Amino acid sequence: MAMLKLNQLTAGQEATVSYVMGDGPVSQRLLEMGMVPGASVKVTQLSPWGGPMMVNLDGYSLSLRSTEADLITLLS
Amino acid sequence: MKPAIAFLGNPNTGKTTLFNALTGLRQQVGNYPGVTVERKHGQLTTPHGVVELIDLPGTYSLAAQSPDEEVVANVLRGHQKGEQPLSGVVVIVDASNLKRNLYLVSQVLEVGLPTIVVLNMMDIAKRRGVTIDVTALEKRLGVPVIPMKANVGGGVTQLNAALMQVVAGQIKIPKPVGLRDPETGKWQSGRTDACGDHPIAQEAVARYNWIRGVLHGIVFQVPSTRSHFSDRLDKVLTHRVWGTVIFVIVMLFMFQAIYSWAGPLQDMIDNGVSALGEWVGSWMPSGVLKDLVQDGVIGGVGSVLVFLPQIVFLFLFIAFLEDCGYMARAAFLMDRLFARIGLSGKSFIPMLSSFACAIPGVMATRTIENRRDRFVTILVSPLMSCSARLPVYTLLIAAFVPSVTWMGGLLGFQGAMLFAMHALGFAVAIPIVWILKRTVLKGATPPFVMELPSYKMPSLKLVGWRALDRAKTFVQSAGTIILAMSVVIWALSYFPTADHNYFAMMGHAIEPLVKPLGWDWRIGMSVLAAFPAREVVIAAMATSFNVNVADGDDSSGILQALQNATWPDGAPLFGLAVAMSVMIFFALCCQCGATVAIIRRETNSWKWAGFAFAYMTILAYLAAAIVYQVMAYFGVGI
Amino acid sequence: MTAQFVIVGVVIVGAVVYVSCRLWKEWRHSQSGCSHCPANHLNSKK
Repeated sequence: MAMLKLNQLTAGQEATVSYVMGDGPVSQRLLEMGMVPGASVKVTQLSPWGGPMMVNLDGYSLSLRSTEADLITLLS
Repeated sequence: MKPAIAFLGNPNTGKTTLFNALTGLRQQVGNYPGVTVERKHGQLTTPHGVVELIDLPGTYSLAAQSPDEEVVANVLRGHQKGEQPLSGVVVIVDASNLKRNLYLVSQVLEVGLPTIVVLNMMDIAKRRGVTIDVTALEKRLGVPVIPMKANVGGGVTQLNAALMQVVAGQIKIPKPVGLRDPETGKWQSGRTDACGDHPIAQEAVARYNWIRGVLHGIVFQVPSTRSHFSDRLDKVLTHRVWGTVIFVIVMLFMFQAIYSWAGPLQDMIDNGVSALGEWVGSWMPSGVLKDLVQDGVIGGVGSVLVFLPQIVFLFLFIAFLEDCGYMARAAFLMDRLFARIGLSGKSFIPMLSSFACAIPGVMATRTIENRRDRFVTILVSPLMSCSARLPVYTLLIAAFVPSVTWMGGLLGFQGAMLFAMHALGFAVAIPIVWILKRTVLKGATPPFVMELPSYKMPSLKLVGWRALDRAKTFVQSAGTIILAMSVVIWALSYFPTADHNYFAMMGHAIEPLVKPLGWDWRIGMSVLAAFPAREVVIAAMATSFNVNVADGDDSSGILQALQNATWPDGAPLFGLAVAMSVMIFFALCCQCGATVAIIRRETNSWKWAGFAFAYMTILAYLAAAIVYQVMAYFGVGI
Repeated sequence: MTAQFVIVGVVIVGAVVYVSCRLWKEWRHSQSGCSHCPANHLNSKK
């Protein structure tokens, strides 16, 4: 089973967070901001060609780039 | 010693609004020693004596990543140099986003200080269909919880009472949350399988598990099929095409509005200044004193004071944009471009603030985590055209750019020109950032993880207060530094004789230097004299072009003086080409003593301050020379 | 006439002293972490 990552979702799709990879400052910030196992994320806005994406994370809007979204693994 | 209580919370929780409501104007703003983190203090008088309130920078976590967050953690633990140990903490949380906000609360409860939780934005939560059982929350957290509305309606009295209890020692230190085994130091994350072994992940999981437990059964969300107003607005405002188009239109409208709305007010001030000049002229005996008062003082200061309405309008606009939540959207839109040049969209926020004034802009870079990225942002922020450049632009545009309007006056050529001058600084900043990130401040592109706060109606009182405060500063500077510089310039151009004066002698000496820009010595000297404060350039021009406020039959004395100015051979001095060259020089140069000083302070080195001044001056000179020479070559606007 | 020149002279000297003091203060300000620049009031970030 291939792992589903946050940056593979399309606009409007919803999923549940499985875990955040890595232990660097970006991973730490993502975890603190609520990207913990069990949290629900919904992609609200995608900008193609390397622009950031906007997600709704447990009720608030968060923006992040594809490189950061790549750290977030989802339950499929 | 006065007891001290700190206010902290996530960014965008309305912490500062609440702090201002409690302390009013009795605030002191400063820096913590050794670090460039703002230290904001206010005082609250209670029946038990005066309490010192400390407004800490917004933070998501006590595990610090930026210098701001580090200070917050140190102040709480009583380790911060320059700060006394605290008597208590007030944590402000956003009721519409309780889950994430309680993360910080869970950390604060472990610090071991009497704690009060303020549940702010209850009205926004209610609108989103969230109901919270406050009494139950209070019981579960073990600390007082005070509900409050976003624009600080009720609740302030309750908070005041709670603060008094803290001072009186009636609030107990909360029980630690106890998420960590005291012996092994292991987090009670419940599961070590999925989240790996990183202690960071385990801490986050443990805390969010605790939050889930706290909120279980006391927070109710009415499921709504309708999307929130904020989300719908975001669909348009952050759209990669429409969002950008709207951003440009908002900016265009802003500059056109500054132009047309401020006009009548400016005329009023102008008429007042002329009347004062005439009145003085009618009773003072002629002589050197009358010349000083009329030409030096009234002519110099009056010509600058006229621009007060424009500056107030610009500040109103920027303050409104900052407070309504739009800045984060602009940062989101710009991230794609900024990622290409090696920064993140976050750097756009200080740059946008710099359109009001570079000083708060440079200070707003403190939220940028990486030191090098912060320095790059600081170095380009002064390129954004601040309100002090506005008088120069509007004067020269009014004098030399034709007044054509379209769409019933909504959009005009002059307003578009003003917008173009502001866009220039931004356009130049892009390649400069690119170069800096590849040479002196080399580094990887920073990550971009940013919260987009919900839109809210800014408190008009707060926005108005900031604009008024700026107006006060402007009038103050007109009455002090601009007045003094006007007198000095007047004196230089009056002695030894009006025809052979010191100002002209110095001017003739530097004329070869400014000749390539199409300037004569009067323009050159006026620009040089403006180093202490940019606005001085208008006063200096008024003096060096011999504007007489008293005998002007209409109010546009300086405007006409510029239009009628000639070279010694009788050829007109100004045309569109020279006006453009002056404006472009002003747009890109660093003629502001205060900006150089703040860069020195924020980077803690003269090297960077000197670098900013040098590169901007060279850039301004070259750009102005190229534009003038090209226009002259093709015979445009001469 | 002399009285006028005296007043003007005093005003000019005052202005020169003020401008020098101001620049000196700004320089000092950049050295330390003082706070009285107007801009600090604007920086009311949440």
